[in-house]
Amino acid sequence: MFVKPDEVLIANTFWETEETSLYFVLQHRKGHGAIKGLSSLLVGTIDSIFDTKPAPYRILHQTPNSEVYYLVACGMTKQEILGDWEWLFANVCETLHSFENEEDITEFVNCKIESVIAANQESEIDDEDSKSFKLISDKFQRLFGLSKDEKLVNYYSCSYWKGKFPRQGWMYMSINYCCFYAFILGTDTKVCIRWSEVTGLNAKNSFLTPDAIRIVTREKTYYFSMFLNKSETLNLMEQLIDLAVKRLIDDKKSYREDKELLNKLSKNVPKKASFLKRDLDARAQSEAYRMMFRLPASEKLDGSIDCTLLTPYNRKHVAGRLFLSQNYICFESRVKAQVSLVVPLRDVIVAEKIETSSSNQSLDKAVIVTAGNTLNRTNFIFAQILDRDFVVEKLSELLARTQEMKVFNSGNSNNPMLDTEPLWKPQKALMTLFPLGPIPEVSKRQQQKTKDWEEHFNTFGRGVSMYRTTEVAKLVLDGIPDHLRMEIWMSFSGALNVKAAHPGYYRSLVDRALGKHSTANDEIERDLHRSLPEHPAFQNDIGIDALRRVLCAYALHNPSIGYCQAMNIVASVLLIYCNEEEAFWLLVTLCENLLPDYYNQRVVGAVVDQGILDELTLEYLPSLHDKLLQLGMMNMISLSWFLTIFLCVMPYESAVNVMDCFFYDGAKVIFQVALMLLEWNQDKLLQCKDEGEAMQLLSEYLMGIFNDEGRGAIRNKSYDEQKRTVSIQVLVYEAYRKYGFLTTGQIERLRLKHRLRVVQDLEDTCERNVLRCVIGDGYFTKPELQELLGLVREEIISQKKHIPDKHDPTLQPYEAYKVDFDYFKILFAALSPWGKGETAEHIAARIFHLMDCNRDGFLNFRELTTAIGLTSTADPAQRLKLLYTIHLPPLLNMDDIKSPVKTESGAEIASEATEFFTNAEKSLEKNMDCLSVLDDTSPSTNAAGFQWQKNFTSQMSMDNSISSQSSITEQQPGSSIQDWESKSLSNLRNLVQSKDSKMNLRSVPRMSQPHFITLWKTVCDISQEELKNLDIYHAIADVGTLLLQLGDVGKQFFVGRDESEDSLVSAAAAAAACSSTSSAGEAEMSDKNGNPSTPKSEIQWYITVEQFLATILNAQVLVDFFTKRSSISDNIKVLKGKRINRFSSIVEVPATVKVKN
Amino acid sequence: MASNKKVLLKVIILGDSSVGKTSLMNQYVNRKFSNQYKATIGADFLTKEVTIDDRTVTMQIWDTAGQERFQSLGVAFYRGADCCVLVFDVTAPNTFKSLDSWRDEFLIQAAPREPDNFPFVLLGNKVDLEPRAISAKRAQQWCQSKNDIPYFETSAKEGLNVEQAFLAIAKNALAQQNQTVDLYNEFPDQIKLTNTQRPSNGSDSCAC
Repeated sequence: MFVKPDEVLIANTFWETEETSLYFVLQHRKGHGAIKGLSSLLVGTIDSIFDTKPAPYRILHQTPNSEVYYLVACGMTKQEILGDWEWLFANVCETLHSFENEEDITEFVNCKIESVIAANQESEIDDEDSKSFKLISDKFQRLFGLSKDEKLVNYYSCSYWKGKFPRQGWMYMSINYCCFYAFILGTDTKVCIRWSEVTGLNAKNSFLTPDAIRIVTREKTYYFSMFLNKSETLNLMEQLIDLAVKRLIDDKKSYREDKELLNKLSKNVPKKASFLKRDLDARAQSEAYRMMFRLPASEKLDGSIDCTLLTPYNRKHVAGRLFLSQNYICFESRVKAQVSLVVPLRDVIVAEKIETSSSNQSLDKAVIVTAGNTLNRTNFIFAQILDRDFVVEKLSELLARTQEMKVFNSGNSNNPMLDTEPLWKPQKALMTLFPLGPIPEVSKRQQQKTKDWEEHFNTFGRGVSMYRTTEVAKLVLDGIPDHLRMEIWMSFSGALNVKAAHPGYYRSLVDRALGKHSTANDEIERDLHRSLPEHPAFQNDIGIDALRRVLCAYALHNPSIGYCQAMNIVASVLLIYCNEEEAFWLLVTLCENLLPDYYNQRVVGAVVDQGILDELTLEYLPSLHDKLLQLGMMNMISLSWFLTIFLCVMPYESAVNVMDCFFYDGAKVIFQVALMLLEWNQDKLLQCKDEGEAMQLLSEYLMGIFNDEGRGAIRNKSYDEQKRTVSIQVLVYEAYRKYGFLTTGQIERLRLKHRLRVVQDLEDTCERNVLRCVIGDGYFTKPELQELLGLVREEIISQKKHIPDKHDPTLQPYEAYKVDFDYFKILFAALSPWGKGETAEHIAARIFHLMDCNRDGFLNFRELTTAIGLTSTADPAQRLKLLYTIHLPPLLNMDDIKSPVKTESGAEIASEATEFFTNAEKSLEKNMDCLSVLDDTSPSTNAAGFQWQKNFTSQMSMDNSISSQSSITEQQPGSSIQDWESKSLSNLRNLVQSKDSKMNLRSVPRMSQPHFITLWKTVCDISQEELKNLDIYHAIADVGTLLLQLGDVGKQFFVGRDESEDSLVSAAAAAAACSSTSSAGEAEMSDKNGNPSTPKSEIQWYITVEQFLATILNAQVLVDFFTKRSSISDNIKVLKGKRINRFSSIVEVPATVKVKN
Repeated sequence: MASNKKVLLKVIILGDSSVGKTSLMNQYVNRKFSNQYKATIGADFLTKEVTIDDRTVTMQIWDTAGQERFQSLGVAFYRGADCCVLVFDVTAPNTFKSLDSWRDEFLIQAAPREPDNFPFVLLGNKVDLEPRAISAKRAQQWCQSKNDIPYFETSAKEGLNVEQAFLAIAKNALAQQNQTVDLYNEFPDQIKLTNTQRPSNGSDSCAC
């Protein structure tokens, strides 16, 4: 790689020259390479500590009379640098001779190199990171054997505490890994932690490791310290871990680079080390921004700038910050909660500068934004914007884009078929249809409240772009009047923004969702009448139908949640106060923004928040916490509290006041109320003897919470029977007074922490379930299975492909852990004693084919353990049965024996197949010379081979029809092959896995000679390591001969004894016949089914599985060999150490260096 | 065991969503049926005092959420259960199919000392409805395969067999509790050969 020419003063200190020419020197770094002298160690240490470690190869330019060297190229590998070296000779050196002046030469070289670099850069436009960062990123990938996709996010200098000793080095963070590397005096220390394996992260101070960051995984705890910027490092770690965890919850949330960021005007963005880091920072900022102003998830923060906002209600200029994103202008005052503002660009008509007048200094550098329609306009005036021109330019750009979208959308919304009568009409808020009995004092109170709100609207504006001050908070705490609830919930929760962005979406969803058959819809149907049965609207089809539409539409809108009980209760309450479509969008906002992951397949979000409530209780009500812990109560109460926002535990007309605050202030309200409730009941709870008593106490208390401003829907008998405990207004007010200090940000941080724990616990549970299912198969012990599962999980996470839904309840738990053939090959080679020989890959392919029950090209974890277990830990008879089976059709067809093997997974092993047979033949010759010698002495004619072939085909067809109980001869070729194959495969599978053999052995097809020969080659191959042992060597030869003879007995049975010769000779003849088949013509074998193309002949060579088993099990040495139980634990350790990398074959993976300590 | 001591039995009702768990519990405890129950979120419970063999027993009946995704969250409620009631809907075959999974999950999460002998009772509910999808014979076969679980066909709506079923549940739970108490006390008895005291009383000592 050519680099920008740079002067180098000391040319030789750390470098050794490899080649020189008149103008160029090629050098390599001392210490690079095999020899490790003291100086090389020192260089290594210095390089590592200062992270100056340059590429190990470089080319310098120097003119003979100059002292100055110029670095012109560097390279990671010798090959690379030699490429550059040759290029220089081919393209530059010739020209250089024509210069007269040495300075000209240097100038020419430098120019030339720079132009080369420029040309290269043009070809990689999306080369977003700086060169130096790229180098480090490369180094990181190489050091840890990671793929090229694993881009570095950032790196920090720090030390890693190995025991009592800190090691100074560098911490590298990528999207999936946290790595550490130190190289000190010849020892390197490497740590590589996958973020998704992290179970705990915190800043930890201890005597030994002051100011450290602690990272906990299931296996180990790591301490890192001496960070230059600890909080930044910790934040980045948290962010990366959260990404990993979210990916564990939902695969679709996996990280994707935001390429848009590249095109972004980088005016205010300081150039940071890496593109990814910038991306992640931007993400974090956008998230905070969205949360602050309740904006849709797609909203990305564009920029922010200090300014003042003119607040007309008190005629002041409030200092704060202006935020801009694609669809919104927002403002937040510097003084917390003083005022905030959200102006959707869709409402903005124009944004322009206000000419500065000398009379009013406070309106210096001001921008006026006009929103509304022609009748009703509102102006927002921002002033003191330092960079006003830029902001205005940006604003008009964003506005122009919004206008385009408006036109586009209005064009779209005209589409719906107007000629057909719609099947359903969206329902108006149910309270309008089912008014509840009027109670005079309640109506009066509601009217008063409505008046207060109207006044507030007049002063502070209405809708989303209302000036949000503490005034409105007061009104919300008091309870919103019924008919304003929809409007205020919609604008404060941000649901209005989402709705505005998706015109027509709800209708189309409902049209698609209704009448669709799905589990979710069935579940919804069952719960429709069990949502809010006490309300008259839901004792009637009108309410039920609307509820069905909203829930079914949501299930279709977000299939990863589908339908979760509790959503029905929430939705039915929403429908009472809101129009149908509004109710839908509120539900969307609630499920996806306010209560993330609450209702998903594992109710993760609710469990996370349970953990938070537990932690908060410990902090603020410690003695109660102990008691609740002892009773095991926390998990019982909080689930229903959180999932229904108290709707199912309080009278809904009371709980709806909590909803008011919840849509205004977010999830923190639930915690405030929960803590308040617990505090008020603390004394009584402390007296409880068991959890039942405590549950009863709380549930009675909660059902007694009353709302005298309610319309009295629940003022039926059951309501009056309840003890009245406290009014909801008091509860809400006190909860704010006492626990109002909790902030959304705080809750989010806690969620981060608890999410990590909950998700890892779920992973553990999932793993336990898998182990429970698989351990019964008896091939491996629990620790062995755990390690194997760990490997598979690691593999699944590292490949970004195919993660089936782990929590699909219809699947067995082990279905979630699958390996494809490529990885099976690796596992098989590493773990199975049969995986070491030359034919290992073919054995693996056939076993894979045999075990893959559903033929999806993957083995699930159970199939995997069976496959490996059968070859390494099963009893000898089982192993032999497997061995026999995988050499039968359809696993081993005649085609495979004589021509390249194709595996089921489509992987072509063809190229190696030829080699395989030659090799196998060689090993056969080598090891079974007794047979091959005979082979030579009894030449067989082509005719004999030809004859045999015919017999073989007929034999095959007979066996096939036995095994599949269907006469294939009558079937059309092709149509039933698949069917026959899968049937016969499943028969074979049953044979192999069953332990009591006698019964089913009879139905096993007999084996023909060529198959047997291949089988015996395999035996030799897998016992290769043992062949030094003469006993085994002889046993294999003897047993093989014996089996060949046995096969002949069958043949003699057919042809009588007249051909009787020395049995060994005939055996050899048979062997020869087999080898000649490989050269036999194509014609006879063209039929894949092995349909007899000629009448059945009498000559038959076969052995049965009984003969096979009996013969081998008689030879003690072989029995011993097939009984040996190999420890997969050791093998797994070796495999782990290798850190197999299937993607970066370019980079040589360095052998792991064991840290000596 | 002292007969005057109050005994508390914890009974867990499990089964798919809308098989009638809440209705069964309410029918038994309050002797009334309503079609106005909400779907159970989390769990709910009622208590009832019954007299069995001259002993007053308080049954604490826990009703749980039936949707699949709540299955793994049951652990909090299963703690210290004395009997587990499995319920299916005789008109809905799927609810019968998932019995195995409910039973397994319960055994894993509650982790009783002797999983094979833990008392289960199976209730086939909604026998008042037609058409039936699961015959009594089929349900009984399943029960036999699980170590002879008692089986009752009930209708929470009509109050059919509910009383009998819960009585059997109470008896089984009581037997289970006595057994574990005995087991618990076997060891000290053997050491103190002269100890003539009855096994120590009540649920306090049953620290299971």
